[in-house]
Amino acid sequence: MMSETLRLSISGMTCAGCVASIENAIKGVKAVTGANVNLVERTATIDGNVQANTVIKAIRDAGYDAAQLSGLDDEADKEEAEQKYYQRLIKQASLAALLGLPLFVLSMSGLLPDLSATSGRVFWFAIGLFTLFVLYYSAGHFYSGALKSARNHNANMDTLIALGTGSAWIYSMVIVAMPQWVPELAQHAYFEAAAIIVALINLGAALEMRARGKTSQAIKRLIGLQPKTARVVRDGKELDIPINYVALDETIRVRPGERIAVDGVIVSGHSSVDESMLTGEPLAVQKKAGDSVVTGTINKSGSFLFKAKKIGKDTALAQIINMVRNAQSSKPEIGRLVDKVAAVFVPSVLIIAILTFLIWINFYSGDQVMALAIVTTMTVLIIACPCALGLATPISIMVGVGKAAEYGTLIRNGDALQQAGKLTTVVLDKTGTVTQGRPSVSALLASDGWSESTLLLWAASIEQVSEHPLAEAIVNAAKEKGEALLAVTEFTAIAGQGVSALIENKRVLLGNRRLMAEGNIEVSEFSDDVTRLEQKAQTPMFMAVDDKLVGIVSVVDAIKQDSAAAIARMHQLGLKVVLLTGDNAVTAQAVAKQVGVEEVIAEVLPQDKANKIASLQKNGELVAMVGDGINDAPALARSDVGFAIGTGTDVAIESADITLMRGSLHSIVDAIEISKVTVSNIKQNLFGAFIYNAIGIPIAAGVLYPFTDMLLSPMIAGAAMAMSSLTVVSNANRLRFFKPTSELGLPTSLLLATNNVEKKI
Amino acid sequence: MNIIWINILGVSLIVLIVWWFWLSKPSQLNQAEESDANKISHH
Repeated sequence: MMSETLRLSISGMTCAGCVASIENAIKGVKAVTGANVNLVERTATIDGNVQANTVIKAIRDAGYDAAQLSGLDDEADKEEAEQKYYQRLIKQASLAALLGLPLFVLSMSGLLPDLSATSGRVFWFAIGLFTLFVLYYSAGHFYSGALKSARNHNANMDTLIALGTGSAWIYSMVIVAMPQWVPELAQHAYFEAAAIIVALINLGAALEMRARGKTSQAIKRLIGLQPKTARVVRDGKELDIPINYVALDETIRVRPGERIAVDGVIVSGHSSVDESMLTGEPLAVQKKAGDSVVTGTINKSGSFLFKAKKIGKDTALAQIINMVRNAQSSKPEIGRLVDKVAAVFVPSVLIIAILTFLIWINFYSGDQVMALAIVTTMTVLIIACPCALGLATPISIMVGVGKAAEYGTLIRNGDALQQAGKLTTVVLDKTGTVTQGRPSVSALLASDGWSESTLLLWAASIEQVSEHPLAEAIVNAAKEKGEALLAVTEFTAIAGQGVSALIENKRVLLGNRRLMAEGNIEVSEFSDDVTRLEQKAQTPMFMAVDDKLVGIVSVVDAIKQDSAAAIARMHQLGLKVVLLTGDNAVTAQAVAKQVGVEEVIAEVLPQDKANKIASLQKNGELVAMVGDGINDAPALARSDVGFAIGTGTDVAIESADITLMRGSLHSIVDAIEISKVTVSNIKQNLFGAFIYNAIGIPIAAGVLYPFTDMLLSPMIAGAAMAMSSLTVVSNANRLRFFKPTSELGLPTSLLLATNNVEKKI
Repeated sequence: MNIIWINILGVSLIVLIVWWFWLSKPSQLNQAEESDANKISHH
């Protein structure tokens, strides 16, 4: 079950440290059961029965600001705010560059006045004041951010930038005011360094924001599917009204080429509907009266009227958007570990910076000792970049979850995404997963004294009360023949065996061998026929009346055309594939043979499916369960990653970690491939961020100086720092171009062969 | 400034950082308790 979820946009958040302090503040509020702060989106997702105002107050107390996000329209506001923030960053970078660059060029050319002369000091004093203004205008947010977090016992990127540029400015002003305090060789002002660092970091943040915007394209695309208006029929007249004013059960007209505005059921007309934007299924689906239609899909040919059945946040599209958003904001295990590292990263860098200063002061004996100690300390502060570390996981998760959604696969959270790539075994339920889940009667074998039509009539009569998919097939077959079903009493369903009831005061049993064996009913008359049917992947059911076998009703559920191709892809990925079914062993083996599955667990009672998963897990396997029925729910929940077929029951979908919006098993492999590539992208990002810091910090501290006389300029450090986060964001963006192998190597015909699906999310 | 004083200052800063960012940092549980206490005091 989904709990109450609140979404807030957060401002004033700059780095990984902020994420931890905001999450702590939110979790401190009573009744909050979970909180996830997304540094990439600048949002917080809060679970629990809690008032938005209470949470916003807690966030404000922690030194940040927040506002509630409720509908789809917020995305536009958020985008506008981001655009404004981008322009402000560019202005701040430009002003800082306007001071820093000329000063840097002139200083390199030796054209600037010397500090030893009074006129030179007046010049430098004026430059110092201008730098102070630049720091106030262009770096004010770093200083206020640093203060806010320091008050909350946290330190973040702002802390480092504020201390780095602040120490450069103070040191330079001291030199301008009292040059005699330091030796002549060390008399160099670092105003240009402070200004250029600020310019580069603001420019880096602006570019990073642009790149980040691209990562949330999947959500934007989904939101773009929602039409703004609907053509409702009121009092016989057709009116175009905004979507928010459409009421439940209202009749809506859809013309060719239009998008369907809300979820509903067709009442008149027929058409083909393109559902590819939601399912990834390229073929248009034929729809007639009584069929359901989904928001955002496109009506291709005819015009039809439908009744609104789900509106607003209840439509499948709104729920998909919500699910993708929540998943994008969630943190996988690897992300939580990184957060812990990031939280201690900045204070550790502060200590390294102080140690750098002390080591230079104690162990270097040249005239410039003070200048070198200050410059190296400053460079250490500037080069260390917790941002790259903080962004590494969430940005890849965001792109990965979005990519999966593009292929019709909804991933519930980051953990599922991380786990999917590590799976070793895929357990497939047979009916509705490997097969189409639409069984039909394929053979009727009657004993002496019984006709085929009587056999079907009695079988359909007993099954009319049952909810089993096979029962539906038998009832439909009888109805097609125009038979009037008989009255049934004392109906009992026996799980995993069949059904029993009284018809015309005779005890009727319909079910598998096990049911017949329990009733001591002799079945040898049809044993050859049964074996032949089972070998054709059919499911024969025995019918006995008053403990005597009267015939066989055989049902077949056609295998999905692309199941074999998808299972071949699973094998290519090195996965063990197991078929798990309640059906008899011979039928299960026959299906398994047709689709290329090597291991079959058949005749499993519904309640035992979860135990079978558990026993596979005990053998060290990381197990995925794929299913669609209510009886699969415990197994889906027990497995490491549960995949629910989107055409299946709501219970199955709620128990699963990943929902496949199209019925094809290819989606499982797509999800696993996307998971693998996302996790490896996260690892690349983390490796890059750690290596950058591990190499950058010692070089900044001057470890190369004794051997090469080389010191890193604080300006280069500023550029490197800006580049490191930009690199992480760009690397995550590479994921956007990833295509699963289904699109690369396999024939399209295999991909096109999927079901006409009705989505239930 | 005497180098000894600089060292003393540096080490003190390190101690201050360790104390402020680790030792005196309120845990999540304390924050929750504080927040509850605030709510009670408002009533």
